[in-house]
Amino acid sequence: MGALVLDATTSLLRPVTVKDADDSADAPLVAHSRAGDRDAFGELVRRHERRVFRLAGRFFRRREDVEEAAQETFLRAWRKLGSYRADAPFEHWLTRVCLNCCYEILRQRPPESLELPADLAAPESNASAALEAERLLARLPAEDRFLLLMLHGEGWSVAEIAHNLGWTQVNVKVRAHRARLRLRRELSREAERGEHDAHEPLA
Amino acid sequence: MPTNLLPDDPSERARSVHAALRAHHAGIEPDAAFAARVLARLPEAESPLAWAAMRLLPAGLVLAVLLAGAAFEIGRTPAEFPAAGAGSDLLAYAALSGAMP
Repeated sequence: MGALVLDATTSLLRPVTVKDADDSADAPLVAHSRAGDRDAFGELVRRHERRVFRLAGRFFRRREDVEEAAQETFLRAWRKLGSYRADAPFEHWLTRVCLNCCYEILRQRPPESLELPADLAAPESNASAALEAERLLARLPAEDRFLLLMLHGEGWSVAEIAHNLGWTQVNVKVRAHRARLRLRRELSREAERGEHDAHEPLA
Repeated sequence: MPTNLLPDDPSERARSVHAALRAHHAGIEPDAAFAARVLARLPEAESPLAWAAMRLLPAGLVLAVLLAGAAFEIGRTPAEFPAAGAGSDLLAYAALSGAMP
């Protein structure tokens, strides 16, 4: 029988996985970083930078914005290392820090321009519809976009979002409901606009 | 040219948007120098002297104020003391108030 480890989520014993090795490799780096070891923290950054970029890339389109959110995430993690409790993997804690950073940056920004970056990578299938959907999203308030991207983009549950943002589940549900209503409203407006344009006489 | 590029059917339209949400990703990877840029922005470690000064100075100021207040109370002049009654206490009162050489 292989080695077993206590799952932090279910509190049940389960077989050791590669991920457990990663989590345990973080522990000494976190301990050294807490003591002010910048080299150890640099190693933590290199171990988790791709994940943070991937998460920040959900909410921002331009490279400089993703970079800013990612840098801010790690800077905040450095400042708040004292609050990290080793009962959960460091990656989970860092995810929370990243989400809160992205959320704060989004809220502080003025509404995004409808001009999408020239190098926007649209999905190959139905590229036009995807771009149009992107423009719809850009019209929504930052909070709505943030929630919809976590619910439908990351596929997280209400409980996961509440846990990661430090909100109550009721709060998440209410905000998600409002976000979906606004999205539906924008979709309806788009449909009306399209019908109106279709009936416009050609010049 | 029609501006609405989404499907006409509302449920298809919603599915299209949800698909766009799932695909909504900048696809940006960190470059090799990202960690170095983060480390360069970390605040400098406080020197022990600065650490002590920031913490002891306010405490020192409070202590100084308290001591000054206590000194003020202790150093009140005899004239501020309640006046002694006539008779045997009068001599003591006069001595304290400096009336006698």
